[in-house]
This record gives sequence, C-alpha cells and structure tokens, in this order.
Amino acid sequence: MRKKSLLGRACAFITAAIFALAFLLPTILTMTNSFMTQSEIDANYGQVFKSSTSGSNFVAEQVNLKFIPDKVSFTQYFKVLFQSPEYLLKFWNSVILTVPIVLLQVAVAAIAAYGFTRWRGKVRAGIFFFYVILMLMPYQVTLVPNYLVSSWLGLLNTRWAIILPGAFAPFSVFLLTKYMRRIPASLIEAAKLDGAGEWQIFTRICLPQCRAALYSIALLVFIDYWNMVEQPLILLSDPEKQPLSVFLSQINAGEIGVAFAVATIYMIPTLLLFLHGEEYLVEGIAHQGSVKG
Amino acid sequence: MAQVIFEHVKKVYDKSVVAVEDFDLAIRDREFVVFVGPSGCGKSTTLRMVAGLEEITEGQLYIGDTLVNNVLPKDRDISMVFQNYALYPHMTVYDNIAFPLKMRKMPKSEIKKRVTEAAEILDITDLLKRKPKALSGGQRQRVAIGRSIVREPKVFLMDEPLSNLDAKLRNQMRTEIIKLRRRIDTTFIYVTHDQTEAMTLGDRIVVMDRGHIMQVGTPQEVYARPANMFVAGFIGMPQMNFIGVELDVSEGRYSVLAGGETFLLTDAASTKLRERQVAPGEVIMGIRPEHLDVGERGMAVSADVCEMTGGTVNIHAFLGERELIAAVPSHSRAAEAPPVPGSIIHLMPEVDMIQLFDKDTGGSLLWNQPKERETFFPAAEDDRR
Repeated sequence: MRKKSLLGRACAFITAAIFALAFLLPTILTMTNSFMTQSEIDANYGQVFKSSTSGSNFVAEQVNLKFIPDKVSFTQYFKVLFQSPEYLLKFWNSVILTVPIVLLQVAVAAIAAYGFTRWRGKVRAGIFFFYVILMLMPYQVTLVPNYLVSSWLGLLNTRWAIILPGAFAPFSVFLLTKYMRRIPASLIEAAKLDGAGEWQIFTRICLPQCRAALYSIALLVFIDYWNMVEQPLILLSDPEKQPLSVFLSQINAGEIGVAFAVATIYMIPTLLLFLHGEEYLVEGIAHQGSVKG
Repeated sequence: MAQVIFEHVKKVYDKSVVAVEDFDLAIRDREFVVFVGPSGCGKSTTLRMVAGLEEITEGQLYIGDTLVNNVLPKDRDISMVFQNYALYPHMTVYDNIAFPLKMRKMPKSEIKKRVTEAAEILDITDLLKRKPKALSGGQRQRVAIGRSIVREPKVFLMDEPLSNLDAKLRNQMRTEIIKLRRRIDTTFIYVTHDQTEAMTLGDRIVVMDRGHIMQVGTPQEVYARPANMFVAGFIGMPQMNFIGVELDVSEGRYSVLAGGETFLLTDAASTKLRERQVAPGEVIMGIRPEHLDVGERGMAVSADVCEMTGGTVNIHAFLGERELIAAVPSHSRAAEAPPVPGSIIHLMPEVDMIQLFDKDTGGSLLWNQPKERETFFPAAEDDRR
C-alpha cells in the first residue's frame, strides 16, 4: 500500500481536529463555565432566557460564549452539593433508574444471545428476525404501547415502568448475538466433553469471552438511559421520581449556573466508565461487524 | 474395558445427506485405530458420533459394555483433541488443563497433582501460567492433549490434531503421540487425511470413502493387500499406478499383458485367481511406483520429467495416454543418468507385487475383504450379550 503524502495526512488531521473540536466545545464550555461566579454567568448569559410579555421564556440573541472564567469559583458546586439537595436527589433518581436497566438489559441480552447462538432452526431465525425488526423501530413508536402496557399492569408513575421496557432491548441482543457467534463451536463442544453443563458453558466459557461486548453494551445502554428524557416525562408523572436528565432539559433563567455545575457532575459517571473500559469498548464495537463462522 | 463397537451406524443430515452408512467396526480395548480418507468421507462425523457431538441416525454404538446412542458427551468418559486445539482463550494453561477436573468437582489437591503430572509428561510445566495466545502451535497442541489426558478417559479421540502444524512440527508431534500412547494405556481413535500419520500411528487403519468403510487392516495389510482400487490409490505416495491389462490363463497359470509385454503372475496369485474363478479378460493392474524398475526389459514407455525427492527419484513416463511413475533409489543408475524426456525406456514391475482389480467394481481380484467384526473381533458380540 502506498504511504499517504504529508499533505494528505495534514488534511486528514485538520479535518479530524475540526470535528473533534466541534464535538468537544459544548463539553468544554459546560465544564469551564461551571467554575464561573454567578455575576459572570449573569453577564454572559443574562439575556439568554428572557421573559416575553406573554410570560413564556424565549431565547434572546445576546449570548457571550466565554470559555475561561475571569475568576475560578466553586459557588455553583457549593449550591448543588450543599444548598440544594433536590439536585442530588435527582442524581440519585438517575442512578436507581439507570443501573438496574443496565444490569438487567445486559443479563437478558446475554441469555437471549446465548440462546440465539446455540440453537439454530426456523423458529430461532423467525424470532431473531422479529428482534431485528423491533430494533429498526424508533423508540417513539414503542413508547405508546409501553405506556399502555404499563398502565394495564398498574406500573405507571413507578420506576418499573421505565426499568422493565429498558431491560428487554433488542439492540443489545442483536449486538451480543453477533459477538457470541464468533466463539468457535469447538470451544463449546470441548466444554461439553469436559463435563460442563449448559449453565457452566454459558457462564464459564461464553461470558468471559464476551467481556468486551458486554462492557461496550453496558456503556452504550448506560449513556442512553442516563440521558433519557421522554420516558420519565411520559411514564413518571411525579417530579420527585424524575431523573436529573429531565431537569437539565428544563433549565430556567437564573438556574443556568447551577445547570453547568450539575451537567458537569452528571457527566462524571459516564466519563469514568468510558475511561475505565475504553479498551473493551473499542474491541467490543470493532468486532460487532466481523462475524466468523 | 473400553472397546468401541459400531453396529451398522448411519448418519443422515437434513433427512437426505448420508454422511456415514453401514459403519460396522469393533475397536479393541487399548487399540490405536486411525480413520483415514479424503475430505468429506465421513471420518470426522464418525468420530463426533463417538464423542456424542452428533446424533446417530441408525445403528448402535457401544463404549465398553454400554450402549451410548443416547448418552450425553460428558457421561461417556471420553476426551477429544480438536483440530483447532479448542483451548479456552481466557484461561491460563493450568486452568485449561484443570477445567475438566473442576467440572467433576475433584479436590483441589488432586487437580494440582494431575495437572502437574500431565504438564511433566508433555513438557509444558514452564507454560502453566501463560494464556493460549502466548503459545506456539505445537505448545497449544500439547496443552490440548494435556487437557484430554488429565481426566484419564476410557477413550481418547483425536480429530486431525496435527493438521494445523507445519511439516517439521507435525513430524515431531507425531513421534510425541507415539510416545504418549505408550505412556497412557487407553483406546485411541485418531482421524486424519494424512496417510503417513495413519500408517505410522495406527495399530489398525480404517480407510473411508463417501461414508463407507473401504478397508480395515493393519498398516501393512492396507498397503500390501488393498481391498479395492480406492484403497490402493489412497494409501501410498506416490500413488499406485493403474494400467488396463489383458488377463490370460494358460495351464492354470495366470499372466497379464501390459505395454506389449507378458508378465507371468506368481503361483500364489494364480492360485487365488483360480480359487475365485476369475475368467481371462480385461482387468486393471496396480503396481506401486517403488515396485517398478527401469531397465532393459519391461513395458516400453515414453519418459517424461524426473523429480528428485531425496532418497528416491520419481521418473514420470507415459504408457499411451496413461501416466506412470517409477520411484527408483537416488543412487541407482536410472536416477544418476535420468532418461531424456520423450525417450523410450522400459519399466519392469516386480511380479509378486502386482495387484489386480476388477475393471467394473474396482474390487481386488487377489484379496478378500473380510467381514471386519467377525474376523478382527469375534468375541465382541458374545461378550456384550
């Protein structure tokens, strides 16, 4: 293969850098602005949320995007952590909604994927096809049926209305099935001959080899549900039970400084998870497309 | 006792594809039997039926005295070495070897003792803490064998275990398997498509083609007394030469006319042909390359290329359209002064090594193919009943 020219590499680098910056800027802005004083926030964003004569909020034109605070201040964090416990409560709401969904979805996906991998046949193919169709549907399509089923089960305004539909997501099953199919059949057969039962084959042979896929699925699911807005808005009518993501989507004038701090705190779990499992994530996603027979 | 008995075993895939048919064989306790044949002949399928990895469509399979048709693989007391080693990549070598023992809930001290012993036998003690990806092909194969022997199974199955190794390592591992077999005294069933492996390892060889047993016998029997043209052609390298000849009989003595030359068959061959009442006419003569000599007399053929293989030189020649190969020692006159391509040379067969086959069925006219189980293992059926 020919080596890329210096100019070509420079172009590629600049393009990548522009895209990276475009994605990073909002994050950097949020993080740096969270360390601004309230007066500096007001000076920069005071005009953003301005009351109209009719009483509704609208976005004004004057915005002063500033990345470096004049003076580093922890006032916003102090407010969030010590003066306004409702933010921490909402953070906790996010945790108790997201963590069970991640754990249950990974567990359900692993068991379903194992089933799809180990047993072949027309029935299996039919069910798998059904899963793929479900996967192709946008979330909004299933939201109404989810609402109806939750209502029928009496789960509306309980966390289970979000956790249960979240636990059975077709996308994770699809990804993990593709990953599991890469495990050579001879490994399963060797385990059988070695005396392993189906559960032992699943837990001791298959799952350890799918660590990368399991981690990447867990992370993707975590990000997805950590940032959810529609589900809690529709299925949880009690604001006390709603997660922080809902609050962040509904920031009002006067709270923008706090919102920066809350958003920064809110990003920490995702960032830590990503940094911890970056290697697995890359491997897990890279292997989804390369199915070997 | 770990005899393995196949009674008319049949395997059909998808209700139409017959992979193995009427497989009838009795493997003695502690015998090393090699299934050999070309790709798709059903040898691996047969092995997998013994392992319990394939269901048996028809027939009975016994391991020891137990009918195992419906017995789970883990309850058959067998172990298997796979072509691709099938090592668990997330486990260390120690854990790989210990896995079957852990599954049987053996005490830790016993597991450690057995793993250490197996590692010593296979000379992999230094590798016990490594993961499979940090091992060479040969080392992986040793670990796979270690995992199999540690359990001390009744029957030891090997599915083309050397085919992923390079030629040098393959020879080395072959010797290792012979040594291993001496140390662990159990029944072996070994599958290969490599006839050299089959000849060097097996007490008996089962030659298979298209799901059927073509011949069962010791390496010497299969080589010297092939039951049919398939076996004759499959066993031996270079392949046996086949020539259409005219069989004649005069005063009870048979002869063949090949390449314008008449070769009088031995008394033993004539007796066999007489006993089988073989009529004169067109037959197929088979002669191995190493049993053809280049000289002044014999079949007149047109010389083609010569191949130096080390100890022997393969001289290719044409008898009409039919290509023949003569393998002569590299120190012989014919090898030292190889014939010019296109020149006429004479090939003389060793008459007592001539094989004769029916031109229609391909079956041997000289050797009977005995009913395997009756001849080689007469007591098997009675023992079980």
